Amino acid sequence: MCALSHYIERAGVAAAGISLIREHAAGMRPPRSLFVPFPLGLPLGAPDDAAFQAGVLRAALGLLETAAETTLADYPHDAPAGADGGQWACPVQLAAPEPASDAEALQRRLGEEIQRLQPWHDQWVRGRGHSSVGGSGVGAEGIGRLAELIARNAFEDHDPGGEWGHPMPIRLKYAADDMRAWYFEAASAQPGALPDDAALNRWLFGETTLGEALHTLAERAAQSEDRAIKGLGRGIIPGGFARKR
Amino acid sequence: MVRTADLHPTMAEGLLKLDLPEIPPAPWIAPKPLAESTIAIITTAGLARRDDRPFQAGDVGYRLIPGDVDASELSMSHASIAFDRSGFRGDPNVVFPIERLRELAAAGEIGGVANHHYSFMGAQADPTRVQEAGEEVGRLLREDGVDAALLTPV
Repeated sequence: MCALSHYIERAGVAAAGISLIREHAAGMRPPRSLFVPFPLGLPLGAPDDAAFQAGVLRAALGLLETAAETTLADYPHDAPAGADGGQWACPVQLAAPEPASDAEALQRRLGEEIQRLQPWHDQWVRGRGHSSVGGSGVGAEGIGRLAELIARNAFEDHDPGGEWGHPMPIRLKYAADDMRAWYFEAASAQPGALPDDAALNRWLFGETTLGEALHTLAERAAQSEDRAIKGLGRGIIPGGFARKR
Repeated sequence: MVRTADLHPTMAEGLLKLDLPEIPPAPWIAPKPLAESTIAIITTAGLARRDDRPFQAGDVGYRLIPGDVDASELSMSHASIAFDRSGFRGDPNVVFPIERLRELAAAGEIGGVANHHYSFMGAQADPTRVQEAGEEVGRLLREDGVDAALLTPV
């Protein structure tokens, strides 16, 4: 963000940026920057809160009128509290995950889990009008393809071919991201404030077959001598959720 | 409140140990009043329309986002999993505030919303790798009548 501010301003267009990491803005000194004390991933602070978002937006754009030299301003308000991640519970009681013995069994159990969650994902799409799944190049309707890719590669190298947005093995990382997003949307479909990713990750990696599948995939990848595959685990298991042996 | 001191230690260390390049500042621009300014959004959230090419890790290109885009048409292919995506999943405006910008334009607080916005992949190990594309986008914005850019990270 900071570098782009410099490059865009060079072309004659004034740049005002939001910064989530104050140290980066202080070090790279973009022309106008507003540090916001919000979680990474939420530069406007609060989903579904138009008034709060507008306040942040006005503060950032306001630097275009008030800054007369390189400026790093601090937004004075914290984001409003979201869902209580500690209290949140998934509305669907899934079968307890078990270690999978082979890809076929894992794929079958994933398929069953997806069937249980599908009504809730449908509910999410009805309520929100969209699904965020798609970074892999495969949308929410392709959840079965994503599940097959993850399950097979948890036990063997498998490239199913077909249209994807990324080559192997990085495709596995984006497929994992999309599967987590699909599960999170399904689990978040009930009315009320959205649970945050920390609560959702605790559920996914503790109580679902997908969590078991991603752990199995990450642990197999860690044994690879191919550096691109070996590092895959860090790309699919968020910090703090790796399985403890 | 979230500051780097509040993050998971591994993440905080990773973020703070990055070598930050020294980029010479551009000549200072005195922008027009906001009420007369056309604003574009430039995001490093790795957003793209669903029928566009998703970003690859380390991608130094950009994706065009039409000014009349429905934010729900955007998907995120950012490489990092070290940030909260729950907000974007529910409300893309928390990352790409296009509806808020339109509201400010309708209220006369800004002059208008740009015809095109642009998206990049963030978390670049070397941010100077986007120099060429960044300067190109700057020229495209200027030619499109944009007065100022709002930059949003994740």
